[in-house]
Amino acid sequence: MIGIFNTLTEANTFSEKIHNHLLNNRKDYNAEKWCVPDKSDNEEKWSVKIPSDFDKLKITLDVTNIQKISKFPVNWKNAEIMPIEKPIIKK
Amino acid sequence: MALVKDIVRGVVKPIVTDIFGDVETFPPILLDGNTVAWYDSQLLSTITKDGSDFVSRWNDRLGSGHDLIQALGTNQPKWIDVDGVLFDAVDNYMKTVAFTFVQPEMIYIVCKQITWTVNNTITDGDIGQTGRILQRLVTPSLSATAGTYSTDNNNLSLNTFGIIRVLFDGASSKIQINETTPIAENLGTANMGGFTLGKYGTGDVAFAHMQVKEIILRKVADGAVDEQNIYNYLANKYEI
Repeated sequence: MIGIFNTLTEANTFSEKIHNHLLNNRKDYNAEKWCVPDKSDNEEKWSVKIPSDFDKLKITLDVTNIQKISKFPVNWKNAEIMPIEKPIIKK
Repeated sequence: MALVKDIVRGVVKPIVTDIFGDVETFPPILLDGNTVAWYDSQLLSTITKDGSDFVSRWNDRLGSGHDLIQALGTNQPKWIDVDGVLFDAVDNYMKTVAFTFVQPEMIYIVCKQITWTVNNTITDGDIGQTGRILQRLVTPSLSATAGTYSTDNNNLSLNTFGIIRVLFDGASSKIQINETTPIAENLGTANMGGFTLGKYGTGDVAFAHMQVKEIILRKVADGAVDEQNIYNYLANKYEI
């Protein structure tokens, strides 16, 4: 599950909330922080992944303006890091 | 380290006892000084994970210091008991600090592709396109590149563990899956200079959805006998 936010401030607040909750509730959690919110290439939105064990750890998502999605929309990034070449047809 | 004679192959091998108490043997060539990193998901003494099994550190079992590290919680992959380390295709990856790693470089990796998305990247060097194994063109094809893409290798089906062997050595490079016919081509001359697992070497893109059990990185073009011994060690260990 991924949380999408309209502002970086909201995303950072949510990330910090998750981090603090994990520090208190997930045994041996030792991350420096939860995340650096990821910005879409195409719109003013930021994402923060929700931990897969949030339900078990009872992390409450009491934040406003969060949109929860299961996977990134296809236009989230322009990540064309290699050209899609046509297959080589050997004669 | 104790030694034992392998009666079948007639060679002497080092043995260790892993955390499960099982005696493990491996080919002595892995201790010849050319193994720059060796990551074993079953050797829990080399893995730092939290109470939900998210991995922040996966150390080289030989103690080189070329350890895979992930300090951000969201990016940490999950250790799955005997099934290796799971990378979620959203943002999971691990990376070493940059180190000297130049061609010839050899990667042996035991992994499975869970889903397939063009460009998603299993391994890379410190920066992009320097030691990259990626999903390319059509399911379930894999390619390797250090500047030039190999012809696609479609011999590792989804959701099946296999052994990928890649040699980056200019015009003498190759990619091989299990014991199928290797694709021997010029894959380019870029040097890895480090190791990235689970995404493109540069930037936060091309995250793979995969599970990884073991990786061996070598700074040599292994000869046929040595390569086969290393392959056999992995194949026997994971019943591939």
